Amino acid sequence: MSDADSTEVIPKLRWPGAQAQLTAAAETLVIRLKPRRDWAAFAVGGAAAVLGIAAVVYFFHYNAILGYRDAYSHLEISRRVLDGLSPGIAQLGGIWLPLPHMLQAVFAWNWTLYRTGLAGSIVSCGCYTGSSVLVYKTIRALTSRRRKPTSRWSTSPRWPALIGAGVFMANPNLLYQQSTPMDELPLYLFLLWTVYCLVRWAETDRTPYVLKAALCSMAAMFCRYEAWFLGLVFTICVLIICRKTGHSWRDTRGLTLVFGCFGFLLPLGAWLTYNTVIFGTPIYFLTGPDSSSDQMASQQNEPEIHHWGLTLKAYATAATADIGLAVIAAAVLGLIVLIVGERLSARSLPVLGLALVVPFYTYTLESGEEPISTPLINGTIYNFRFGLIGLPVAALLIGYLVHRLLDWLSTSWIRALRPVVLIAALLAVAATCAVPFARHQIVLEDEAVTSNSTQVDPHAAANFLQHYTSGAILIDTVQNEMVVFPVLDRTMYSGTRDSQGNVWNKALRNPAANGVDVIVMRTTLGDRDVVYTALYGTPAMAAYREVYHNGSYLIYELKPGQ
Amino acid sequence: MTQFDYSEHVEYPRHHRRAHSASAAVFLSRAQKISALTLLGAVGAGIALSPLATATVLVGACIVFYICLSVFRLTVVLFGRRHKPLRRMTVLPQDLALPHYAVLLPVHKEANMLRHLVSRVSKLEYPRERLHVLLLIEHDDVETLAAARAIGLREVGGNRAADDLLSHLSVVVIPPGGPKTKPNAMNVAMPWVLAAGCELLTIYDAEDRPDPDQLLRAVGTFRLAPSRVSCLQAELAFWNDDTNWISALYWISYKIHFLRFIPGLASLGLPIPLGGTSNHFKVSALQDVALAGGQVWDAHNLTEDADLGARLMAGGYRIDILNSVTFEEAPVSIRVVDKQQRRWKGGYLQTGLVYTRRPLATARRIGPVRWICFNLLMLGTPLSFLINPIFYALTGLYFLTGSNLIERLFPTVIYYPALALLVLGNFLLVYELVLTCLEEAGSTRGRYGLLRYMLLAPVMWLWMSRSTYIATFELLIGKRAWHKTPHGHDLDEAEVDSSLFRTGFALSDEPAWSGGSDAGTGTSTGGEAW
Repeated sequence: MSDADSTEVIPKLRWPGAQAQLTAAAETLVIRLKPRRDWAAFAVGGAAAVLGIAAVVYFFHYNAILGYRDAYSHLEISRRVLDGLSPGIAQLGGIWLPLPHMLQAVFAWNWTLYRTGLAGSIVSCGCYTGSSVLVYKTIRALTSRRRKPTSRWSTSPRWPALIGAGVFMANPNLLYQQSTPMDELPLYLFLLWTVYCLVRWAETDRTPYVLKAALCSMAAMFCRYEAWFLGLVFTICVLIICRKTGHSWRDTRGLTLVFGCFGFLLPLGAWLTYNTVIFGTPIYFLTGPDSSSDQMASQQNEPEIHHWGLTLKAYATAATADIGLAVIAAAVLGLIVLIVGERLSARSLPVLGLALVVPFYTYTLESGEEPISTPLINGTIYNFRFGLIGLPVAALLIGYLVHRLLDWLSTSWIRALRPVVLIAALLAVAATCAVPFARHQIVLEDEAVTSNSTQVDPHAAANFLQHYTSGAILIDTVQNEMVVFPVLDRTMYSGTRDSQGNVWNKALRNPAANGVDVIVMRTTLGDRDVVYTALYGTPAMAAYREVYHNGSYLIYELKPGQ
Repeated sequence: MTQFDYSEHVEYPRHHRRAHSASAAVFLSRAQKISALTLLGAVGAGIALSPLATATVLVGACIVFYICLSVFRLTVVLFGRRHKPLRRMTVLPQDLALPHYAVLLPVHKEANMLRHLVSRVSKLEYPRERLHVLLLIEHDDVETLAAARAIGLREVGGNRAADDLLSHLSVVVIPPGGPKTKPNAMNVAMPWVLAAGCELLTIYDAEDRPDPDQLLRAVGTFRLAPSRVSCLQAELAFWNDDTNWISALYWISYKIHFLRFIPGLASLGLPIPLGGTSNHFKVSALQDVALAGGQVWDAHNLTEDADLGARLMAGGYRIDILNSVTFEEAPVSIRVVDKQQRRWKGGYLQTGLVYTRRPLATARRIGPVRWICFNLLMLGTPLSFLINPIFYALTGLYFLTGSNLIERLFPTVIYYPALALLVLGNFLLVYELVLTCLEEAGSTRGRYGLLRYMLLAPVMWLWMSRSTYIATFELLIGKRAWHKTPHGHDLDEAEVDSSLFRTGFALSDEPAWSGGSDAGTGTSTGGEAW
């Protein structure tokens, strides 16, 4: 500052520090303003938690938490990581992706939580609560209006977000799914989180959201394989959002690289590396026993495979049964309004990217990579839960639709209809939840309970093993999950190791010399397991005697004195 | 040249002379040598008797060390993110109560940068009559001395014309005798600082570009800070972040260090390894914690700033962050990185060894937790760089060969923590780099294009490991060279304020400086000691 300037300033300052103190105080005041909390988000979280816990109690009461064969499998993997004959990280296996099991392992070490399936329910319920909040927050971000670009607060109403969250939370099939130890809810949580972070980034241009989104995408990719496709889709979304928000090509390259590395390539590479280290091949998850291709090998004659018409019909049937025709119709309308209203704006792209999971699922069914059965085509219900994947995006689209509808009503002469629309929407949401529960007509629960009730032989064999045998049990876990479930801690299976390495192959050659006390064989014609194939009728069985058999299982026990 | 007698000008409390008698002049004390030999002997005996068990114990010890270091760094960084800056009073240059301020500018072989340096320092907003900028030049640095004379700078203590625009700038010629290091030069200048009645002091390097109001900000912060706050560290940042991958990685490492790590240490009340430049001290505190003989900086320590930070903390003082930035020039070649890292890692080792010579007494003085944390930082940082390549190699070998021997080195109790460190530890390190880059890159030259370089960080870490090995070797063989970082790769002539410098300046009119004449007669022993 020049001398001329200073002579003008000095007379004004009676005490040089006084004015400075005021300035410092003002700066401090600005810095310490904390963002206002969105109490509605807390309310949504609270409501979701209450609803989720109530649903767990309800399905527990009806003994429906453990229904799917996969539910048993997930719990077994989770418990094996911390307990069993050879606990360790290798017990995560190479077929299912590991994150849901790692989350469930926190609870599955407890026998009661494991045996009742609640270890998985706790994780799913927590993810359901988080997902509900994220649906609310994503719709808020997607529909936000600010007085100034720099403003921290949106002036748009909360109702659309509340209704969207309501559509998600109140779905009875989702409430069943969140009561089970399946891996869908962790997937929904991390996918919604990815979308939320990307929408927030597109809206605020705060770049740390890109990294947060990438980490969520990484977590989703460690939950289910559908997320691998979406990881790639979101990477492309980041690239387009960068350009749409005016970033240079240099910035675009950098930001896309961050998302692409953390949100797509790193989890992919990590899983391939894990498969290589543990199973000796990077594509074990594709080709190993009980992998999708292994399961599908025997189902390639299903009529919907390589038939787009039947595939669409099968998937539409499942989706309608899971989500409801009215919700799907509203979501489709919401999709059209979003595309037209936002004109493919940056913040709408992550939602549209998420919506691509529905056609992707349809493609996997058509190409025979995933099985689905509907009564009209196959005569049974199987994997109807695949239809539920459309619910998160449907909830977002309906939230957006309500937002635009309220906008339209506020600018037209029929403003008085706004409360009517809101009340009607809330009632509709409540009805979609209450009616199926009142009638006890929940499709996914029916599928699981029916599937479970037909497994008489496995349950009987499991019961015998649990109450009438002791010592190590040699059993092939593939397709035998229900037999293994109550005696997991004693089972010797293809992943059991000792200090010399894997013991499975040694035990299959000479079970008595490798500490096997009990041998279980699945004898179902055309579907015999590895233990049967390796040992039945061989000299190695001379040391064992048959102690139990039913239509599907043979159980041998080591002869006394052996 | 006037030779100063320290005892004539400086009064240092006697108890501190005793307490801080330790200096890095000696690398290992006798007790340390005996301890090191005992440890090596035990390891050697272990290897002779039971190689696998000994190797497993060593691996286990390394994993425990890694866990301690990781938890420590993570805690510090998390606290750093929550650090609340000190409140600051806005101070104007017209403030009549401004203290006398000393600015030390140690320069060595920087003749090409001198006009830029003087121009930058002249932009500092501070009353000239209270500002004392001392350029510290070695007696045998002929070129820099000549350059200083050419632009009209005078030796400290000389008479100046009242209208001289550079009246606040003086040259201190460092006499022969002491070690030819930056801390020695600053020690030589200290009596002049005291003679001028300076209450505050700061240090800038030749390539520094401090915020013009940095001194006023320091005064304003000191005024509202608790009296125990004796030093404020301004943020050091690089302006050439996008030159190449090296400058980008240096830029991000400084961002993390100055925006996360040092604030975290300050929040936790732990000793702070100061940044070498742009640290603003209360002169009284420096006098209070001086070493025996009255030296403020340990002239034999390669990271004298880290040592001084610990001494201030031991003296009951606090160090905090100054909300102001000094821009520097990042290294752009891998060779320069090597030199700098050799100095820094070697200096950390020296400092750590100084503070472990009398462990009980030092821990009592600093506080046991602070002492452990400080040594974890000083000794742990170079140690981690020494053992990183070994574990990377073991991992690579295992993936390639599936060796059973390597498996046996990692029993379950070691395997899982090691796996977590390998996966989570490395992931968190890269995550911190990328997150900080995303947070800070918006206001840089390279912007988000810098992100691509973050993925090359492991390559840089391996290079730093190499430098750490060399630094350790140099210390062990007694070679303690100050590897000077070359500056001025990208000098901007427009930055020079030519109105500051006298035109038609006649060298023959100036009095001959002792340093200059020494150099002129060829008595310089020269060498890249800085």
